[in-house]
Amino acid sequence: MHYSWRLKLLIYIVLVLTVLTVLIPLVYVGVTSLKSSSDIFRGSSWIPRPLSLRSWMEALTSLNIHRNMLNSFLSGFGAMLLSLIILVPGAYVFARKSFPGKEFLFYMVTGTLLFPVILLVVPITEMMVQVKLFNTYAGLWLAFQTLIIPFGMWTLRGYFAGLPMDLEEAAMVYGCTEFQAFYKVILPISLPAIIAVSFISFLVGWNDFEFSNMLVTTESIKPATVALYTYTISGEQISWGPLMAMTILIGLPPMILYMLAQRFIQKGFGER
Amino acid sequence: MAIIVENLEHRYGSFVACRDINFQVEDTEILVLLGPSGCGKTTVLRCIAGLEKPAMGAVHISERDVTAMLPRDRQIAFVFQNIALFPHMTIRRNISFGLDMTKGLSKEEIDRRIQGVSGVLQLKDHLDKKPSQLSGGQQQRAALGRAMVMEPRAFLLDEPFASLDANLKVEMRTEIHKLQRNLKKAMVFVTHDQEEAMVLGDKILLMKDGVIQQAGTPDEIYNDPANVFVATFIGQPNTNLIEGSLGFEGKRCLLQQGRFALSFDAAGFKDELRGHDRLVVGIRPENVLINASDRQTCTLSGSTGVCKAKVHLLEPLGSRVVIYSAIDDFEFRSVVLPEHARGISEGQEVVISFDIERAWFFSTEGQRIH
Repeated sequence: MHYSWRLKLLIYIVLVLTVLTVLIPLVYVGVTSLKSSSDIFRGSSWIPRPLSLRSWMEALTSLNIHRNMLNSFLSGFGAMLLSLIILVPGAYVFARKSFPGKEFLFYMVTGTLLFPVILLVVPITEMMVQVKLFNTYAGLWLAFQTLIIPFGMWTLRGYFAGLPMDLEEAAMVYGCTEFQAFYKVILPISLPAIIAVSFISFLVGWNDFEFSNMLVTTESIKPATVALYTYTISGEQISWGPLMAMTILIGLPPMILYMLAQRFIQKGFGER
Repeated sequence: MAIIVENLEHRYGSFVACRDINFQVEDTEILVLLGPSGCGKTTVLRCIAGLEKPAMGAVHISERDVTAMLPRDRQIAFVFQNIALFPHMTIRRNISFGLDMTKGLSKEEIDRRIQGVSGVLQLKDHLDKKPSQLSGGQQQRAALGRAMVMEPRAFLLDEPFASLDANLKVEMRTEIHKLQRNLKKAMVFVTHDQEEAMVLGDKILLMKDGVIQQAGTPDEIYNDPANVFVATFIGQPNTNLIEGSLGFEGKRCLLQQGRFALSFDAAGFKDELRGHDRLVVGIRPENVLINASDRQTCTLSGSTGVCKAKVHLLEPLGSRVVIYSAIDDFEFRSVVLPEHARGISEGQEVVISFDIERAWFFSTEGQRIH
């Protein structure tokens, strides 16, 4: 496509502004993590003087961050697996099968997207205590589904519904049962969408703070976000340096994952 | 008999997609299900394949009642309108898909069949490509290959050439025709393209609103239509239909419509016409003769209808010329050889005549009377 130079200029200005909005805070986080604590409190300069690795040392050693990040991974990964077990067959049925009350049920499920999650935190915690899932991974995994399912159902059903019906029918004519047609043909074709949804599911678990903060008190399963909060903020004084360093640490794995899965994520959410 | 369909009826909710469908297809035959879109032809095909469960009726394939069987147990092959190759598999895997699903086939046998089919369909160089790397024609051939390797009892094709361009369509049509003659397997072919139906069909079933309008050879359908719908659906340009009031003058009948009057000798079928005070006469454009009025060569024999009309459009198609002429606002379509159109120009007065023996008589409800 050819744009006039004015339009091009405008597009670039908008792009640069957008990128800066994201990058400036990120860079400042990085800069702050390299400052000494007295430098941090002195004011907002962009160059750390003197350059200090203390915050990073503290982030990496004094706190059990590796363990907490592993916990985050396990709660995210478990939430993702559980969501796939629910979403893939569920979305397929909503996309392909007809049964009484289908539309109503679908909008019941996806409609919860509009419900403020924070209101659910207390009742769900109460429920988990009652069913003895308080302070367990299983409790976290289940709780995360309230965030994952509505969005995932919406996305996956859309993807399945967009696939031509002929594909399953061809598979069924050429020897498949209905179920075989699903896993031999539909499942492989839908991989990009499934990967995209998995990624988001994982992120929900990894990034979560509200549920984890309420549902977990034991150190051995406490995820990184909660550990970060209790260590750096909940004390008498906010330790900005380690907070910044840990924020970067916790943010890295999803970023790497995103880069690895980017190809699929674009396919899954975008054009096929 | 390869395929027998008995009293088939299918509904979508309360909508009757097709009913009272009865026909048989022999191994050596191509049966074409023809009709406008929404007429139920695809539904019939899908019922034969087992992709729809009919509300009533039975389907037999090779002497087995398959009505209650799953598609995969019917030993049929289905070629889809949208080709429906599996996009994530190579052409080889696509073609072998059905064989891989079949138990008791050796690897050598599968390879042998793939080689055989890909040779016939000129797909040998494309076996390791993905469907998206092939042209539309090649993709449709691969879909055919997926059907052929199964060595099915019957082929079911649902408008397989709908997405191909005109030239390729004609080419593939001939290929399918030859293929069927070689394989000698029953083929049911769904199309809305009358030309495709005429060329391919050993038998044509013309459907409308879920009901068979007429079943017969292309010749029967074309030259002996059962009703007005069949007469007008088949043939380009459309059959001329003249509706008028019917009067009797002794031995002769008089059909009148405005200034147009047709007097004809109905000696042989007068009784059939009795009781109808209005009538629709149909005549194919190629059976309408046109003569420049200054050359009074047309015969006014007892069985010929004659009238004067004004030519308002000529459409030369190379091998033939379509002439549109009008009597008042009533339009006559005729098709003549180019040499017979010489000397006729737009705006000219001509004499139109036709052989009443070649005309069809319908009731005003559209049913054929004679």
